[in-house]
Amino acid sequence: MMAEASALPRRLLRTQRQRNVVNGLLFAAPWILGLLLFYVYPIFSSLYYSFCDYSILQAPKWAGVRNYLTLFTNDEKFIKSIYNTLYYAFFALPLGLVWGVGIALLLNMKVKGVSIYRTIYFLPVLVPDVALGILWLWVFNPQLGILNALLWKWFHIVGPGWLSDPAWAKPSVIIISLWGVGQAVVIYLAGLQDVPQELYDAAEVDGANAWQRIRHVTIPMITPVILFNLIIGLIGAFQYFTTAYVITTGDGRPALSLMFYAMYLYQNAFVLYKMGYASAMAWLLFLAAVVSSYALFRSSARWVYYGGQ
Amino acid sequence: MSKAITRRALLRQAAATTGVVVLMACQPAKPAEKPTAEVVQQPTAAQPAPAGKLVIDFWDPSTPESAWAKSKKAILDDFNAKSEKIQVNMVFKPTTGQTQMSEALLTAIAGGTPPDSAYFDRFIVPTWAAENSLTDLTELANAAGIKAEDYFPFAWKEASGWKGRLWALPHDTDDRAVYINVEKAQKAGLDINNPPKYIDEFDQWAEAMFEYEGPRLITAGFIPWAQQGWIYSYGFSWNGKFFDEEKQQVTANDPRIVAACEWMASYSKKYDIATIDSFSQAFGQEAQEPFVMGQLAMTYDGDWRIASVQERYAPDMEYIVIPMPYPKDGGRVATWAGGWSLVIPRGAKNVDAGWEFISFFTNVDNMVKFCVETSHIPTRTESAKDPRFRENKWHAVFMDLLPIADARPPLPIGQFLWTALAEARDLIVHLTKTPQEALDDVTKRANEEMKKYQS
Amino acid sequence: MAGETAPSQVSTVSGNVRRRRLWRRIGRLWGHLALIPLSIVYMIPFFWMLSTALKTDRQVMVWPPVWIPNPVAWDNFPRAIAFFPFWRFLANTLTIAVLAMLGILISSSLVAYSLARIRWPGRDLLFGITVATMMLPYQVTIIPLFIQFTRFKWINTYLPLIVPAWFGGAFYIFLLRQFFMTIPQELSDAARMDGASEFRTFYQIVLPLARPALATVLLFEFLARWRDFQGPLIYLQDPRKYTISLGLSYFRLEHSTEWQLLMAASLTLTIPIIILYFLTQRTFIQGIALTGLKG
Repeated sequence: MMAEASALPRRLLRTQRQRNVVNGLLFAAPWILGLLLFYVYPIFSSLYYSFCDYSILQAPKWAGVRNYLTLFTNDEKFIKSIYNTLYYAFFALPLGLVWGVGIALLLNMKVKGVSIYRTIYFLPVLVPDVALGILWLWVFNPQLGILNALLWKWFHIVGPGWLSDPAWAKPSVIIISLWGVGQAVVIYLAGLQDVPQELYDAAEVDGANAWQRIRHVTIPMITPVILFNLIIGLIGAFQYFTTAYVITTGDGRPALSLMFYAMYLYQNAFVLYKMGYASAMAWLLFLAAVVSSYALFRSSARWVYYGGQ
Repeated sequence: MSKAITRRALLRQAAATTGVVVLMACQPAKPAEKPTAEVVQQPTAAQPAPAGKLVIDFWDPSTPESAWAKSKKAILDDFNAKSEKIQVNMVFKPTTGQTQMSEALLTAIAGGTPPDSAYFDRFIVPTWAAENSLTDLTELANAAGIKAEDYFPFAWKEASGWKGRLWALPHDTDDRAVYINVEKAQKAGLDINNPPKYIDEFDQWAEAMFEYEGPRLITAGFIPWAQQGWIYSYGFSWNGKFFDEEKQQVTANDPRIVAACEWMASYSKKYDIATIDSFSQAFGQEAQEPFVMGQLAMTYDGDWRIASVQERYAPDMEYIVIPMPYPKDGGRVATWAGGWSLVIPRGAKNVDAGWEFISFFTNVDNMVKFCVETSHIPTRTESAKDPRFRENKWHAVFMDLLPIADARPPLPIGQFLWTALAEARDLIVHLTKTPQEALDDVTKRANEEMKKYQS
Repeated sequence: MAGETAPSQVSTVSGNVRRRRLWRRIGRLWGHLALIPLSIVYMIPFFWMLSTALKTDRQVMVWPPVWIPNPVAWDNFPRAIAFFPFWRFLANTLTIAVLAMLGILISSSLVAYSLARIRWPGRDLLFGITVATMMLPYQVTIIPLFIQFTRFKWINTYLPLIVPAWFGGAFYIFLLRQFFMTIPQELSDAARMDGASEFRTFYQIVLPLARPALATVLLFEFLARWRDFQGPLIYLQDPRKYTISLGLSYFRLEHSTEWQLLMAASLTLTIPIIILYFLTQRTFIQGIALTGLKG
């Protein structure tokens, strides 16, 4: 096939390239249009706001780089929120990845009743956030929750204060995040369907056991979705806020241990009438996310395998 | 050639689909099925008003099935029946998160599509006024003969906190005091007929009512930061000043306020904050809430507790209510009041119609009617004279406190200051910062924020 | 590939096969052992929802929680449905969800195809921009977006909630791009050599191979629309147009929340999602056979 292509006259090849450009743009047209209609104005507005004082209620007033300066030189909560968010990301991302892939692999087995299991792992996604807040407070309750009750019953350990203890609050929400892995698992499962059976068969014939098959066939074949979930997970970790918001009613208690970056951003934007300040925070977050995911994408050339390229 | 055709087909298809989508989205929603069960609060239809009436919107955060909403709806319906020219539409806009105000109102103002009237947290009136988002009602009020003396001082102070103009019509309010569990007090050998007046004796009462079972805490005599125990609560009792009018500076680090916070922190140290934290995490809600369950022997809470908690979940429980005790030297009887108001956002299309509605809504009789039905407290002195507010002898205590009640300083940075103090309280109580440090920090940051409004 | 084995190895092979089958069975047992306790943990919130939905007012906030309600308040369900304009809000939400789902599927797959299967200059730039749009927190763009929609005069309609979906969504474009990139290039090349248009290759070759991913896109978008609270809150000014997420906030009264009714309503509303999920899973189990492919 390839030999044939190079034998084609150059004139035709150029047409193919032109065709690609036209097709490429045409297929992407909805999104390009959408970007222009729904993204350009809001994104550049928020950039503008970040250099202004903006209360939402009145027009923005230019303030130069004051927001950015204040963030870095005069805002303890900002620094604390960065620390909290990085802490969360550092643990939740790798744990979430391993956990999500692990569960997806388990759910990929051809066992009886696997669709029931799959539904069970998806159910958490259906519980409304409001209900979750109360539920987690109960589960992690130091005196009456099941977590400490089981720790005592099985291991004779007196459990910590979990969500009421500034030192244990973040580990608690990290554990909670593992429970919310259902959506990532669905995506992994979709990816696992695409692994051709022939590869497994070939590996078996070559003498690979189950674990080796996973390591050398399954995982490499789902690296595209792993990359997806990693990037999405990274963005999600940087913007983490909903669960903590519901649990702490928005103030990051105890002692600001759960004041995450996005929560402080939200507070500035909608509670304190400092949308300009919040926009500055947003753009700093944007930069951090872009840099990190760029690094991740660059590294992906080494470990992601696209079957089609 | 086939490629070109397909491309054109693609575009045609896209255009057609978009057209269909737009058409479908413009159609009105399907009519609801009539439920056969109990009466349902149907959302007020934005129907074409009867015979050429002007239709205006009233945005309200109270849930349609709540007593609160139903009472307002009754007043609204009454207005619609009586008014020949105006029809008011009640639109439920739920609040989100920490604030008492819906994000929807914020975005509507930003987008230039505000309603003609709204139910609004009085506490943020000065902020919105300073941001030029409320209609100045001073002239309208003067014409209608509404004056400061009609209202309790704290309410008028908040409504006219920005540049001395009137920005809102105060509606209802609430205030706070200490509830004491009679049974627990008697069990601890305290004389319930002589409740403490000063803070020293109060601390002794609290100590006597802390109950332990071995190492486990089962009753807390008092937890200063529980329920309504904010820095404002004790700052006022210690006679501290949060804002210096002359210098126009926030003074959250007033030595008396620092002293009040030292007092709060003393409970953290004496009774071990970790123990109290895990103890209070076990507090339930509603029928299982701590005062009713005996986990808190005394609590600083609002007047609404009487109707919404005590009468509802524990009608047989004996309790008394006293004003918050204070330091003998330099303190005073104090409480602070919050509550609601009605406003006309700036940019509303029908200001006069809006005014007719909100002034009707907040007149003496309607205010009495509303507050009696919902067990709230009125801001009008005339309305407060209604004997029904004193039927419950403990509610009378709350009514007595109204003339001397404080409002939180009506500053354009009101919400900012509230949030900063709430966080300071969190840090102070967890002994992460000393009161002086925390309050110095709050003062500094608040004054920096104030600068924006002072040029 | 599964081919011939030398005759001398046959007996060893069958021995291996038997051993492997045993290991496989043991492996599956381990799987069950791992999945079952975890399943119980994962089900806890759902059990709690179910349990709360059947409790009476008194029992809801009992601490520590009671698992089996007594008495069982079956009437919570009809009461919850009567508490707010359930059917109207449901119809509204379904309208929005279905229209958005269709839009996002069509548009995102088209765009993802462009980014994954066509080589053109600027596609990597567009891809980068796409992913980047997800990195700016939504809180700072909703105000200008709202202002944009006021300019279009779309406030108090469903348009802001539906129309953008027809232009694509970054999340789904990214997802589908990843999936499309796993499909062997040879298939597209073969089709192209056979004279098929790009669109036909897209529609007849690539899309069918990505069915699980497409089903996932539909499921997720449905879920997102179902739960969206902020969008309907700020764009809809007429309560008749409200959606179920706004309807659920009817249960939060002034000083208390009707938890049992809220849970009952929420449970009822999960039914369409669970149905959709099952349908999605069926495409997964069908799987994909890449026949006649040389490695």
